[in-house]
Amino acid sequence: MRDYRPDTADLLATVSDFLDRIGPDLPSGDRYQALVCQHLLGMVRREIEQGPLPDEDEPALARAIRRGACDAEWDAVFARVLARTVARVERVKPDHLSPEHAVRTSRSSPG
Amino acid sequence: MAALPATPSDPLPALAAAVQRRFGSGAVVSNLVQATLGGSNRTLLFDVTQRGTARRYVSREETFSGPTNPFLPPDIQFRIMERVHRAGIPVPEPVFAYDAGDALGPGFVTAFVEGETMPRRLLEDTANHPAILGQLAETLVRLHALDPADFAFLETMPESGDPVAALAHRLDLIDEPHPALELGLRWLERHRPPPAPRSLVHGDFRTGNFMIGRQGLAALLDWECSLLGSGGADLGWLCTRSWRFGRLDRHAGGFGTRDALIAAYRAAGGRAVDADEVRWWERHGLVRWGMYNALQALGHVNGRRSPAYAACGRNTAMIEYDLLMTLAGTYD
Repeated sequence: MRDYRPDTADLLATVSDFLDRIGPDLPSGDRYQALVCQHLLGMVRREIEQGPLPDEDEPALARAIRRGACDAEWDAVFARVLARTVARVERVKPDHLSPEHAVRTSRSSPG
Repeated sequence: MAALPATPSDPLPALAAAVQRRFGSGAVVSNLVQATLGGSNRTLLFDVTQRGTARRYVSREETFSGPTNPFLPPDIQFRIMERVHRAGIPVPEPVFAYDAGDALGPGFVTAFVEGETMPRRLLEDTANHPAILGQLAETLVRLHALDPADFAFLETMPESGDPVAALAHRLDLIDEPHPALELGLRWLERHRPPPAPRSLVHGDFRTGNFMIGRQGLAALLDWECSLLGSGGADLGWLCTRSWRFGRLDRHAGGFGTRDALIAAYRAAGGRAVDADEVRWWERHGLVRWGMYNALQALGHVNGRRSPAYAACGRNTAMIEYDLLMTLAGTYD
Protein backbone atom coordinates (compact mmCIF):
# COMPACT_ATOMS: atom_id res chain seq x y z
CA MET A 1 0.00 0.00 0.00
CA ARG A 2 1.36 3.37 -0.96
CA ASP A 3 -1.04 6.21 -1.58
CA TYR A 4 -4.68 5.79 -0.67
CA ARG A 5 -7.26 5.37 -3.43
CA PRO A 6 -7.64 6.73 -6.04
CA ASP A 7 -4.38 6.08 -7.95
CA THR A 8 -2.61 8.71 -10.03
CA ALA A 9 -4.29 7.69 -13.30
CA ASP A 10 -7.66 8.01 -11.60
CA LEU A 11 -6.82 11.52 -10.33
CA LEU A 12 -5.98 12.58 -13.88
CA ALA A 13 -9.14 10.96 -15.24
CA THR A 14 -11.19 12.79 -12.61
CA VAL A 15 -9.87 16.20 -13.68
CA SER A 16 -10.27 15.24 -17.32
CA ASP A 17 -13.90 14.13 -16.86
CA PHE A 18 -14.66 17.39 -15.06
CA LEU A 19 -13.16 19.44 -17.93
CA ASP A 20 -15.23 17.41 -20.39
CA ARG A 21 -18.36 18.21 -18.42
CA ILE A 22 -17.85 21.98 -18.08
CA GLY A 23 -16.26 22.50 -21.52
CA PRO A 24 -19.48 23.05 -23.49
CA ASP A 25 -20.62 25.78 -21.05
CA LEU A 26 -17.42 27.84 -21.28
CA PRO A 27 -16.97 30.94 -23.48
CA SER A 28 -15.08 30.08 -26.68
CA GLY A 29 -11.62 31.24 -25.54
CA ASP A 30 -11.82 29.23 -22.31
CA ARG A 31 -13.34 26.27 -24.14
CA TYR A 32 -10.25 26.19 -26.33
CA GLN A 33 -7.95 26.40 -23.29
CA ALA A 34 -9.94 23.57 -21.64
CA LEU A 35 -9.29 21.39 -24.70
CA VAL A 36 -5.61 22.27 -24.44
CA CYS A 37 -5.74 21.25 -20.75
CA GLN A 38 -7.09 17.82 -21.80
CA HIS A 39 -4.10 17.55 -24.14
CA LEU A 40 -1.77 18.43 -21.22
CA LEU A 41 -3.39 15.83 -18.96
CA GLY A 42 -2.97 13.21 -21.70
CA MET A 43 0.75 14.00 -21.81
CA VAL A 44 1.07 13.55 -18.06
CA ARG A 45 -0.83 10.25 -18.19
CA ARG A 46 1.40 8.85 -20.93
CA GLU A 47 4.53 10.18 -19.21
CA ILE A 48 3.59 8.23 -16.07
CA GLU A 49 2.83 5.10 -18.12
CA GLN A 50 6.02 5.26 -20.15
CA GLY A 51 8.46 6.40 -17.46
CA PRO A 52 11.15 9.06 -17.79
CA LEU A 53 13.19 9.52 -20.97
CA PRO A 54 16.67 8.01 -20.62
CA ASP A 55 19.44 10.49 -19.73
CA GLU A 56 21.27 11.98 -22.67
CA ASP A 57 23.73 14.85 -22.96
CA GLU A 58 21.62 16.85 -25.39
CA PRO A 59 23.46 20.16 -24.89
CA ALA A 60 26.72 18.48 -26.04
CA LEU A 61 24.98 16.75 -28.94
CA ALA A 62 23.32 19.99 -30.06
CA ARG A 63 26.70 21.81 -30.00
CA ALA A 64 28.42 18.98 -31.90
CA ILE A 65 25.79 18.98 -34.65
CA ARG A 66 25.98 22.79 -34.90
CA ARG A 67 29.75 22.83 -35.45
CA GLY A 68 29.64 20.02 -38.01
CA ALA A 69 31.29 17.41 -35.78
CA CYS A 70 28.54 14.89 -36.59
CA ASP A 71 28.67 15.29 -40.38
CA ALA A 72 30.82 12.16 -40.84
CA GLU A 73 28.40 9.98 -38.87
CA TRP A 74 25.24 11.79 -39.98
CA ASP A 75 23.03 8.71 -40.44
CA ALA A 76 23.83 7.27 -37.01
CA VAL A 77 23.28 10.59 -35.24
CA PHE A 78 20.11 11.17 -37.25
CA ALA A 79 18.71 7.74 -36.22
CA ARG A 80 19.54 8.46 -32.57
CA VAL A 81 17.82 11.86 -32.60
CA LEU A 82 14.83 10.47 -34.49
CA ALA A 83 14.38 7.67 -31.92
CA ARG A 84 14.39 10.19 -29.09
CA THR A 85 11.98 12.45 -30.98
CA VAL A 86 9.62 9.49 -31.51
CA ALA A 87 9.77 8.80 -27.77
CA ARG A 88 8.80 12.43 -27.08
CA VAL A 89 5.92 12.35 -29.54
CA GLU A 90 4.67 9.11 -27.95
CA ARG A 91 4.04 11.18 -24.85
CA VAL A 92 2.78 14.35 -26.49
CA LYS A 93 0.42 12.95 -29.16
CA PRO A 94 1.08 9.36 -30.28
CA ASP A 95 -1.32 9.55 -33.21
CA HIS A 96 0.94 12.19 -34.77
CA LEU A 97 3.44 9.42 -35.57
CA SER A 98 3.57 7.82 -39.01
CA PRO A 99 2.54 4.10 -38.99
CA GLU A 100 6.19 3.00 -39.16
CA HIS A 101 6.76 4.49 -35.68
CA ALA A 102 3.28 4.10 -34.21
CA VAL A 103 3.64 0.39 -33.33
CA ARG A 104 5.94 1.27 -30.46
CA THR A 105 3.11 2.81 -28.45
CA SER A 106 1.72 -0.68 -27.72
CA ARG A 107 4.74 -1.49 -25.55
CA SER A 108 3.49 0.64 -22.67
CA SER A 109 1.63 -1.40 -20.10
CA PRO A 110 0.80 0.11 -16.72
CA GLY A 111 1.38 -2.20 -13.74
CA MET B 1 10.67 38.51 -21.23
CA ALA B 2 9.83 41.62 -19.29
CA ALA B 3 6.18 42.46 -18.91
CA LEU B 4 5.02 45.70 -20.39
CA PRO B 5 3.08 48.19 -18.24
CA ALA B 6 -0.25 46.64 -17.36
CA THR B 7 -3.05 47.53 -19.73
CA PRO B 8 -6.28 48.59 -18.05
CA SER B 9 -8.91 45.86 -17.78
CA ASP B 10 -11.48 48.15 -19.37
CA PRO B 11 -9.71 49.75 -22.33
CA LEU B 12 -12.69 51.86 -23.45
CA PRO B 13 -11.70 55.19 -21.82
CA ALA B 14 -8.11 54.93 -23.04
CA LEU B 15 -9.25 53.92 -26.52
CA ALA B 16 -11.81 56.75 -26.70
CA ALA B 17 -9.10 59.23 -25.67
CA ALA B 18 -6.68 57.89 -28.29
CA VAL B 19 -9.33 58.08 -31.00
CA GLN B 20 -10.42 61.62 -30.03
CA ARG B 21 -6.80 62.81 -30.11
CA ARG B 22 -6.77 61.95 -33.84
CA PHE B 23 -10.39 62.28 -34.97
CA GLY B 24 -11.58 65.16 -32.80
CA SER B 25 -13.69 65.33 -29.66
CA GLY B 26 -16.88 64.53 -31.60
CA ALA B 27 -15.75 60.96 -32.36
CA VAL B 28 -17.60 58.35 -30.32
CA VAL B 29 -16.21 54.85 -29.66
CA SER B 30 -18.75 52.03 -29.22
CA ASN B 31 -19.36 48.29 -29.71
CA LEU B 32 -15.97 47.44 -28.22
CA VAL B 33 -15.12 43.72 -28.07
CA GLN B 34 -11.87 41.92 -27.33
CA ALA B 35 -10.96 39.07 -29.67
CA THR B 36 -10.45 35.91 -27.63
CA LEU B 37 -7.80 34.16 -29.74
CA GLY B 38 -5.33 37.00 -30.07
CA GLY B 39 -2.14 34.97 -29.77
CA SER B 40 0.61 37.18 -28.46
CA ASN B 41 -1.31 40.41 -29.08
CA ARG B 42 -4.36 42.02 -27.55
CA THR B 43 -6.87 42.65 -30.32
CA LEU B 44 -9.82 45.03 -29.85
CA LEU B 45 -12.62 45.65 -32.34
CA PHE B 46 -14.67 48.83 -32.11
CA ASP B 47 -16.80 51.36 -33.98
CA VAL B 48 -16.02 55.06 -34.34
CA THR B 49 -19.00 57.29 -35.12
CA GLN B 50 -18.35 60.72 -36.61
CA ARG B 51 -21.06 63.03 -37.92
CA GLY B 52 -23.54 60.15 -37.87
CA THR B 53 -21.35 57.70 -39.80
CA ALA B 54 -19.94 54.61 -38.06
CA ARG B 55 -16.87 52.73 -39.20
CA ARG B 56 -15.33 49.63 -37.63
CA TYR B 57 -11.66 49.50 -36.60
CA VAL B 58 -9.19 47.06 -35.09
CA SER B 59 -6.60 47.84 -32.41
CA ARG B 60 -3.62 45.52 -31.97
CA GLU B 61 -1.31 45.82 -28.98
CA GLU B 62 1.86 43.92 -28.20
CA THR B 63 1.47 42.26 -24.81
CA PHE B 64 5.03 41.17 -24.17
CA SER B 65 8.47 42.33 -25.10
CA GLY B 66 12.07 41.62 -24.26
CA PRO B 67 15.33 40.41 -25.76
CA THR B 68 13.96 37.00 -26.79
CA ASN B 69 10.96 38.50 -28.62
CA PRO B 70 11.65 37.85 -32.32
CA PHE B 71 8.74 39.97 -33.55
CA LEU B 72 8.98 43.43 -35.09
CA PRO B 73 7.91 46.29 -32.82
CA PRO B 74 4.41 47.57 -33.67
CA ASP B 75 5.62 50.93 -35.00
CA ILE B 76 7.77 49.10 -37.56
CA GLN B 77 4.84 46.85 -38.55
CA PHE B 78 2.77 49.99 -39.00
CA ARG B 79 5.40 51.56 -41.30
CA ILE B 80 5.49 48.41 -43.45
CA MET B 81 1.69 48.29 -43.70
CA GLU B 82 1.56 51.99 -44.71
CA ARG B 83 3.94 51.39 -47.60
CA VAL B 84 2.29 48.14 -48.68
CA HIS B 85 -1.15 49.74 -48.51
CA ARG B 86 0.07 52.66 -50.61
CA ALA B 87 1.25 50.16 -53.24
CA GLY B 88 -2.32 48.84 -53.50
CA ILE B 89 -1.59 45.43 -52.00
CA PRO B 90 -4.54 44.20 -49.88
CA VAL B 91 -3.79 44.98 -46.23
CA PRO B 92 -5.99 46.49 -43.51
CA GLU B 93 -5.77 50.27 -43.97
CA PRO B 94 -3.34 51.59 -41.33
CA VAL B 95 -5.00 54.44 -39.40
CA PHE B 96 -2.68 55.45 -36.56
CA ALA B 97 0.01 54.03 -34.29
CA TYR B 98 -0.15 54.57 -30.53
CA ASP B 99 2.49 56.88 -29.10
CA ALA B 100 3.66 58.16 -25.72
CA GLY B 101 0.55 60.35 -25.48
CA ASP B 102 -1.72 57.29 -25.35
CA ALA B 103 -2.55 55.01 -22.43
CA LEU B 104 -2.59 52.07 -24.86
CA GLY B 105 0.16 50.43 -26.85
CA PRO B 106 2.66 49.81 -28.16
CA GLY B 107 0.36 48.99 -31.02
CA PHE B 108 -1.73 50.47 -33.79
CA VAL B 109 -5.20 50.85 -35.23
CA THR B 110 -6.29 49.71 -38.67
CA ALA B 111 -9.60 49.61 -40.54
CA PHE B 112 -11.65 46.44 -39.95
CA VAL B 113 -11.71 44.03 -42.88
CA GLU B 114 -14.60 41.62 -43.29
CA GLY B 115 -13.66 38.04 -44.06
CA GLU B 116 -12.59 34.62 -42.85
CA THR B 117 -9.17 33.63 -41.52
CA MET B 118 -9.92 30.30 -39.79
CA PRO B 119 -7.96 27.64 -41.71
CA ARG B 120 -10.44 24.79 -41.16
CA ARG B 121 -13.33 26.87 -42.48
CA LEU B 122 -11.32 28.15 -45.45
CA LEU B 123 -10.21 24.66 -46.40
CA GLU B 124 -13.64 23.03 -46.13
CA ASP B 125 -14.95 24.32 -49.45
CA THR B 126 -12.42 23.44 -52.14
CA ALA B 127 -14.31 24.98 -55.09
CA ASN B 128 -12.58 28.36 -54.85
CA HIS B 129 -9.15 27.01 -53.94
CA PRO B 130 -7.55 27.41 -57.41
CA ALA B 131 -8.74 31.03 -57.50
CA ILE B 132 -7.43 31.74 -53.99
CA LEU B 133 -4.09 30.11 -54.82
CA GLY B 134 -3.83 32.35 -57.90
CA GLN B 135 -4.56 35.48 -55.85
CA LEU B 136 -2.04 34.49 -53.18
CA ALA B 137 0.65 33.95 -55.83
CA GLU B 138 -0.17 37.21 -57.60
CA THR B 139 -0.07 39.14 -54.32
CA LEU B 140 3.29 37.63 -53.47
CA VAL B 141 4.66 38.64 -56.87
CA ARG B 142 3.54 42.24 -56.28
CA LEU B 143 4.94 42.25 -52.75
CA HIS B 144 8.29 40.86 -53.88
CA ALA B 145 8.47 43.47 -56.66
CA LEU B 146 8.37 46.42 -54.20
CA ASP B 147 11.60 48.38 -53.93
CA PRO B 148 13.52 46.96 -50.95
CA ALA B 149 15.11 50.42 -50.47
CA ASP B 150 11.71 51.63 -49.19
CA PHE B 151 12.04 49.10 -46.37
CA ALA B 152 15.68 49.75 -45.50
CA PHE B 153 14.65 50.12 -41.84
CA LEU B 154 14.36 46.30 -41.79
CA GLU B 155 18.07 45.85 -42.58
CA THR B 156 19.02 45.74 -38.90
CA MET B 157 16.83 42.69 -38.16
CA PRO B 158 18.87 39.46 -37.87
CA GLU B 159 16.34 37.83 -40.21
CA SER B 160 17.36 40.26 -42.97
CA GLY B 161 20.85 38.76 -42.80
CA ASP B 162 21.76 35.13 -43.42
CA PRO B 163 18.60 33.00 -42.95
CA VAL B 164 20.46 30.08 -41.36
CA ALA B 165 22.51 32.24 -39.01
CA ALA B 166 19.35 34.15 -37.98
CA LEU B 167 17.63 30.90 -36.97
CA ALA B 168 20.71 29.74 -35.06
CA HIS B 169 20.75 33.10 -33.26
CA ARG B 170 17.08 32.76 -32.21
CA LEU B 171 17.62 29.17 -31.15
CA ASP B 172 20.53 30.20 -28.92
CA LEU B 173 18.32 32.75 -27.16
CA ILE B 174 15.91 29.98 -26.15
CA ASP B 175 18.64 28.33 -24.10
CA GLU B 176 17.26 24.78 -24.38
CA PRO B 177 19.07 22.13 -26.44
CA HIS B 178 17.16 20.86 -29.50
CA PRO B 179 19.34 18.33 -31.40
CA ALA B 180 16.54 17.72 -33.94
CA LEU B 181 16.35 21.44 -34.82
CA GLU B 182 20.18 21.47 -34.98
CA LEU B 183 20.06 18.63 -37.54
CA GLY B 184 17.66 20.79 -39.55
CA LEU B 185 19.94 23.83 -39.27
CA ARG B 186 22.97 21.79 -40.29
CA TRP B 187 21.12 20.36 -43.29
CA LEU B 188 20.09 23.89 -44.32
CA GLU B 189 23.70 25.05 -43.98
CA ARG B 190 24.93 22.27 -46.30
CA HIS B 191 22.20 22.47 -48.97
CA ARG B 192 21.74 26.18 -49.59
CA PRO B 193 19.75 27.28 -52.66
CA PRO B 194 21.36 29.59 -55.23
CA PRO B 195 21.34 33.32 -54.33
CA ALA B 196 17.99 35.03 -54.99
CA PRO B 197 17.04 38.67 -55.60
CA ARG B 198 16.52 40.73 -52.44
CA SER B 199 12.86 41.56 -51.74
CA LEU B 200 10.49 42.59 -49.04
CA VAL B 201 9.37 39.26 -47.54
CA HIS B 202 6.07 39.14 -45.63
CA GLY B 203 7.64 36.58 -43.30
CA ASP B 204 4.46 34.99 -41.92
CA PHE B 205 2.59 34.28 -45.14
CA ARG B 206 0.49 31.22 -44.27
CA THR B 207 -3.08 30.00 -44.04
CA GLY B 208 -4.56 31.75 -41.00
CA ASN B 209 -2.76 35.02 -41.68
CA PHE B 210 -4.74 36.15 -44.69
CA MET B 211 -8.35 37.11 -44.80
CA ILE B 212 -10.62 35.74 -47.50
CA GLY B 213 -13.81 37.65 -48.28
CA ARG B 214 -16.54 37.25 -50.89
CA GLN B 215 -14.22 38.60 -53.60
CA GLY B 216 -11.39 36.31 -52.55
CA LEU B 217 -8.23 37.62 -50.88
CA ALA B 218 -9.26 40.65 -48.78
CA ALA B 219 -6.17 41.37 -46.66
CA LEU B 220 -2.73 40.13 -45.68
CA LEU B 221 -2.43 40.24 -41.88
CA ASP B 222 0.38 39.81 -39.32
CA TRP B 223 3.36 41.85 -40.47
CA GLU B 224 5.42 41.11 -37.36
CA CYS B 225 7.99 38.85 -39.08
CA SER B 226 8.73 40.86 -42.23
CA LEU B 227 12.30 41.02 -43.50
CA LEU B 228 14.47 41.67 -46.51
CA GLY B 229 15.58 38.49 -48.25
CA SER B 230 14.56 35.87 -50.76
CA GLY B 231 10.92 35.85 -51.84
CA GLY B 232 11.25 32.05 -51.87
CA ALA B 233 10.89 32.27 -48.09
CA ASP B 234 7.22 33.30 -48.45
CA LEU B 235 6.47 30.45 -50.86
CA GLY B 236 8.22 27.92 -48.63
CA TRP B 237 6.58 29.12 -45.39
CA LEU B 238 3.14 28.82 -47.04
CA CYS B 239 4.02 25.22 -48.05
CA THR B 240 5.49 24.26 -44.65
CA ARG B 241 3.79 21.07 -43.45
CA SER B 242 2.38 22.72 -40.30
CA TRP B 243 0.22 25.04 -42.44
CA ARG B 244 -1.46 22.35 -44.56
CA PHE B 245 -3.96 21.64 -41.77
CA GLY B 246 -4.20 17.96 -42.61
CA ARG B 247 -4.37 18.44 -46.41
CA LEU B 248 -0.88 17.03 -46.67
CA ASP B 249 -0.76 16.61 -50.46
CA ARG B 250 -1.91 20.22 -50.97
CA HIS B 251 1.38 21.71 -49.88
CA ALA B 252 0.48 25.37 -50.46
CA GLY B 253 -1.40 26.06 -47.25
CA GLY B 254 -4.01 23.40 -48.11
CA PHE B 255 -5.10 25.32 -51.24
CA GLY B 256 -3.09 23.47 -53.91
CA THR B 257 0.15 21.69 -54.65
CA ARG B 258 3.61 23.18 -54.39
CA ASP B 259 3.96 22.93 -58.17
CA ALA B 260 0.63 24.75 -58.67
CA LEU B 261 1.84 27.60 -56.45
CA ILE B 262 5.15 27.83 -58.31
CA ALA B 263 3.31 27.86 -61.66
CA ALA B 264 0.86 30.53 -60.45
CA TYR B 265 3.75 32.67 -59.15
CA ARG B 266 5.46 32.42 -62.53
CA ALA B 267 2.22 33.11 -64.42
CA ALA B 268 1.72 36.30 -62.37
CA GLY B 269 5.13 37.57 -63.50
CA GLY B 270 7.30 36.23 -60.69
CA ARG B 271 10.68 34.60 -61.20
CA ALA B 272 11.04 30.90 -62.01
CA VAL B 273 11.38 29.18 -58.65
CA ASP B 274 12.69 25.63 -58.40
CA ALA B 275 10.61 23.18 -56.33
CA ASP B 276 13.73 22.22 -54.38
CA GLU B 277 14.24 25.87 -53.42
CA VAL B 278 10.71 25.91 -51.99
CA ARG B 279 11.43 22.61 -50.18
CA TRP B 280 14.56 24.19 -48.66
CA TRP B 281 12.42 27.01 -47.27
CA GLU B 282 9.84 24.49 -45.98
CA ARG B 283 12.59 22.80 -43.97
CA HIS B 284 13.74 26.23 -42.80
CA GLY B 285 10.08 26.79 -41.89
CA LEU B 286 9.88 23.63 -39.78
CA VAL B 287 13.02 24.61 -37.84
CA ARG B 288 11.59 28.08 -37.42
CA TRP B 289 8.16 26.85 -36.29
CA GLY B 290 9.81 24.47 -33.82
CA MET B 291 11.88 27.38 -32.49
CA TYR B 292 8.77 29.58 -32.07
CA ASN B 293 7.02 26.84 -30.09
CA ALA B 294 10.00 26.33 -27.82
CA LEU B 295 10.08 30.12 -27.38
CA GLN B 296 6.42 30.18 -26.25
CA ALA B 297 7.31 27.61 -23.59
CA LEU B 298 10.15 29.85 -22.41
CA GLY B 299 7.63 32.68 -22.12
CA HIS B 300 5.36 30.37 -20.13
CA VAL B 301 7.98 29.40 -17.55
CA ASN B 302 9.07 33.05 -17.36
CA GLY B 303 5.59 34.11 -16.29
CA ARG B 304 3.41 34.69 -19.36
CA ARG B 305 1.47 31.58 -18.41
CA SER B 306 -1.33 29.80 -20.22
CA PRO B 307 -2.28 26.18 -21.06
CA ALA B 308 -1.67 26.88 -24.77
CA TYR B 309 1.83 28.24 -24.19
CA ALA B 310 2.63 25.28 -21.93
CA ALA B 311 1.47 22.89 -24.66
CA CYS B 312 3.63 24.67 -27.26
CA GLY B 313 6.81 23.58 -25.49
CA ARG B 314 5.97 19.89 -25.61
CA ASN B 315 4.36 20.18 -29.06
CA THR B 316 7.79 21.19 -30.39
CA ALA B 317 8.54 17.44 -30.51
CA MET B 318 5.81 16.94 -33.14
CA ILE B 319 7.31 19.64 -35.36
CA GLU B 320 10.75 18.10 -34.86
CA TYR B 321 9.31 14.74 -35.91
CA ASP B 322 7.86 16.29 -39.09
CA LEU B 323 11.22 17.96 -39.74
CA LEU B 324 13.19 14.72 -39.38
CA MET B 325 10.71 12.76 -41.52
CA THR B 326 11.01 15.48 -44.16
CA LEU B 327 14.83 15.49 -44.02
CA ALA B 328 14.73 11.68 -44.35
CA GLY B 329 12.64 12.07 -47.53
CA THR B 330 9.66 10.17 -46.07
CA TYR B 331 7.52 13.32 -45.95
CA ASP B 332 7.28 15.83 -48.78
